[in-house]
This record gives sequence, C-alpha cells and structure tokens, in this order.
Amino acid sequence: MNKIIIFILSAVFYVSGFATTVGNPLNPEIIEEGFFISPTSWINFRVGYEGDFISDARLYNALQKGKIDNFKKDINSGTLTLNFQNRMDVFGVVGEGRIRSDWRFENLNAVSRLQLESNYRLYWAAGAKVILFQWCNTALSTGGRYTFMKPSISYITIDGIPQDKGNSRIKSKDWQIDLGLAHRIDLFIPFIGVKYLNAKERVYDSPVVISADNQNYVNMKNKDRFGIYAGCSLSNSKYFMLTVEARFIDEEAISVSGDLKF
Amino acid sequence: MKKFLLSLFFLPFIGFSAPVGNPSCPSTIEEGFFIPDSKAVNFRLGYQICDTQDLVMKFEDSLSEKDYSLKKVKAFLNSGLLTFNVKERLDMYFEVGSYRIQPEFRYIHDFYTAKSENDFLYRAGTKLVLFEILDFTLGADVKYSYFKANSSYVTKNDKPINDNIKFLMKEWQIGVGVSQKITILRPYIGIAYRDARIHMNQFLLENLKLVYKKKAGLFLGSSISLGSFVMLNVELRLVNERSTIFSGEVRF
Repeated sequence: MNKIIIFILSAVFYVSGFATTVGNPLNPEIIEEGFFISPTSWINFRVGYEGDFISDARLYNALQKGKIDNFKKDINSGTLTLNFQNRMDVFGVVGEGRIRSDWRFENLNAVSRLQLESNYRLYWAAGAKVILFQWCNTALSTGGRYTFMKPSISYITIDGIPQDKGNSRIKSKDWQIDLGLAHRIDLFIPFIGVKYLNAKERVYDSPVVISADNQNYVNMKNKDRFGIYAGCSLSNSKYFMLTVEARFIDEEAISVSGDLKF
Repeated sequence: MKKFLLSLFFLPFIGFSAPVGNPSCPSTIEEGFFIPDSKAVNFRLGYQICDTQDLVMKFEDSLSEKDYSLKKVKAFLNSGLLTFNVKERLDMYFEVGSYRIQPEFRYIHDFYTAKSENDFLYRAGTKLVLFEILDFTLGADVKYSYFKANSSYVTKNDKPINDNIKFLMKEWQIGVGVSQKITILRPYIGIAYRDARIHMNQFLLENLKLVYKKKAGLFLGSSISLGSFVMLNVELRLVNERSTIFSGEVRF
C-alpha cells in the first residue's frame, strides 16, 4: 500500500524532463472581441509573446544510458495564431533560444564532467489546438506542437577546463500532444491537463570526446513521456489575455505568454 | 513566569517553515465550488513553484574555523497544497512536493559543488487572521519543513568525485504581515523569522552543518482574486533568502 501511495505521489509531484508550452485549453475562445475583426467573422488572428523557461529537462544519455545532470532552456519568442470559429487555433512560433547543460561520462576509466552553453539562436514551433467539448464555462480540448532549434555552441568545459568547441552544435527537436480541461471564472481561467512528449536532443560534431567510448556526440531523450501541466489565464474577453503555466513530471518548467486579438 | 507565558503563546506555532503567503489568505476566497459559505470548514487545493537563488546560509562556526566557506545554496521546489479553512479566519495547510538543494562552497583551496537528488519535502503550517478592519488585514503564519535526500553528484574544482553526501534539512518559520485589498489585488508585506539547519553528512568523512546568516527577512507580494473559487499569488523573499514564488489555489 505504501508503495502505491509513494508511486501516486511521485507521479503527481516529481519533477523531471523536457517540453514546450501547452497553453490554456480554452485558448481558442478566451478573447471574444478583437481590435478590428468582427466577432461574427469565422476567422481572426492573434499576435503574442511566449517566454518558456525550462529549469530541468530530465533527459538521459541514450548512448551510455547515463543521466544528464542538467538541461536548461531559455526561449523568448513571438507567436501568430489563426483562429477559426472560436473553436480551433493554428499557430506558429518564432524566436530565439539558448541551451545550457552538464553531464558526467566515463572514458578511459576516468569520470569527467562536461558543461556547455549554446549561443542564442533561432527557435521555431508550429501547432494546433481544438476545443472538443464545451459545457457552460468548462471546456475540454486537445492540441499538438512540434518545435525545433539547432544552436551553435558558445563554450564547452571538461572538468572546468575550456575545450575547443569547433563546429559543434545541438539539434533539439520534440513533439507533444496534450489533453486539457479549463473552467472560466469571470476574469480567471484556470486549467490542468496531461501531455505526451517525445523530446530528442543531439550534441554533435564536437572536436573533443564528450561521451563514453571516445564518442564525440551525445544523443539524449526524455526519461518520462507523460507529464502534467497547470496554469491560469487572465482575460476580460476583450482584446488580450495573459497566461502563466507550470509543467512537471516530464519536465520542470514555467512559461508566461500574452496574446492580443485583432 | 514571563518565559512560560511566552512559550505558551508560541506553543501552537513552534513545530510548524519558506514562502509565507498573503496574510489575508484565509479570507481571500469567499466562495467555493461545492461547499456553501455558511459551513464552518472548507478546503482548498493548490500548486506552488519556488525558485531560490540563495538561501543566504553559512557553515557553523566550528567549520568556518577549519576553512570551510559557503558561497551559496540554490534550491527549487515544486509542490501541491491542501488547505483546510476554518471560518475564513484560520488556515491549516499541508504541502508535499519535489525539492532539491545545490550548495557551492570552498574547503581550504578547493571549490566544491553538490546537488541533491529531487526528493520529497514535507511542510505543515497554520495561518491566522489576527485583525481585520475594512480592507486591511493583519495576519500571522507559522510552518515547519522537513527534507531528506542523497546527493546526485559532488564535484571538486569542477571534476566529479566519488562522494555521497546525505542531506537533511529541518526548518521552522514565523511570519507576520499586513495586507490591503485594492479591487481584485491584495498586495502584502511582512517580516519572517526562520531557523533552519541543513546537515551535509558524510562529506569527506565529515558531517557539515549549515545555519542561517540572517534569521529575519522580508517578504512581499500580491494576490489576485475576485473573491470566488480561485486565487493567484506571487511573492518575493528578501534579506534572509532570495526567492521568487508563484502559487495558485482553488476553493471547493
């Protein structure tokens, strides 16, 4: 019984892994009135900001099955959302992001610690969200998103000693699907949901050994595929909305976003 | 006699610690989803994220004399909250979540960093509205926290070493603050007194103990709520620690 309780609590509270902003399930409908486009129009659009700050992506080294001690991402981006009938959002995200990571690896019977940081480089994402069911102020929705970035490395250190970074890069790509529930309470729209995330990171073309067996590349995957997201939006249904969201279990992240409807 | 009376006054609080929260929390959400307002007891569920840049601690004196010197201790908490509310005057809350600490320190000429595994932090506390007039509230909060974990890794001059530190943290805290309601906002400010011990056992066969540099500190923040169902809160902790806390609660 104790093991079951510990498992359930772990599933709810343990922070782990890696992912991207999900957003409020009620997003397609929150802002009813825009600046220029009439609410009766079947299509409208929104422009916004999205800041995504992942404090630990909980990845593992897929090559040597070892742990990635830290994997952080800081992303600042702009969003463009096309809305159809206040039921469906199709969005694109463009911005810049940076990755910071460190891990330990064993090579030639010695354990070393590597730390790296990428430059700020282009980040992009695309996705959609659909309201499946709505009952009074409560809505159930699903969505999906694909994200990609490939920044160059700013520096690499091994055991505290700076290394030649050469043309090394990090390729980061992930996709996720989500299912969430939201309830409108006047200005507030709290939400909660689950998501499935497939995250893949690859550090490659390093002139120095960065993994076991003299490898100059590392493949990383997320340890836990399922995660929970929760947050709250704030809007008076006119022109704008603000959202704060936390994600846990499959990652440890917080994101803030704001949208203006035109 | 005075000491006895003082100890009686603080007895309900001692034993029960981190974010303080809005002093007017017990009375902020006046309407819940299911439990009518007329009931004496209701409950809330919430979520909290706390990012600590530095716990502002030091090695205890006997270790400082041996050339141990602490740079900083970072911490991160992700937790769920269950709060029982009595008559919109008293909150009794329990918190369970994932916590980790990352101390950075020097010993003679070497620089060490350590990171604990993510493990459970348990916290319990109570919050009482002492005085309320119009939209002004004076409140007190007392809490106790417990955390135990093994180290994820330890490095010496940025190179991993084969050492396993066992972390143990116990902390209690008393906070007193004032809050003023301004439409849907409830900004607040107050003073928190805390006493904490972090044990780092079995580090190079030595047991290390960290204590707070400053016991008293400042907290300030703001809640936002319409008075029904939901409340959001942001808080900053200063002087005796540097933290940012976000939380949200729903009343049932």
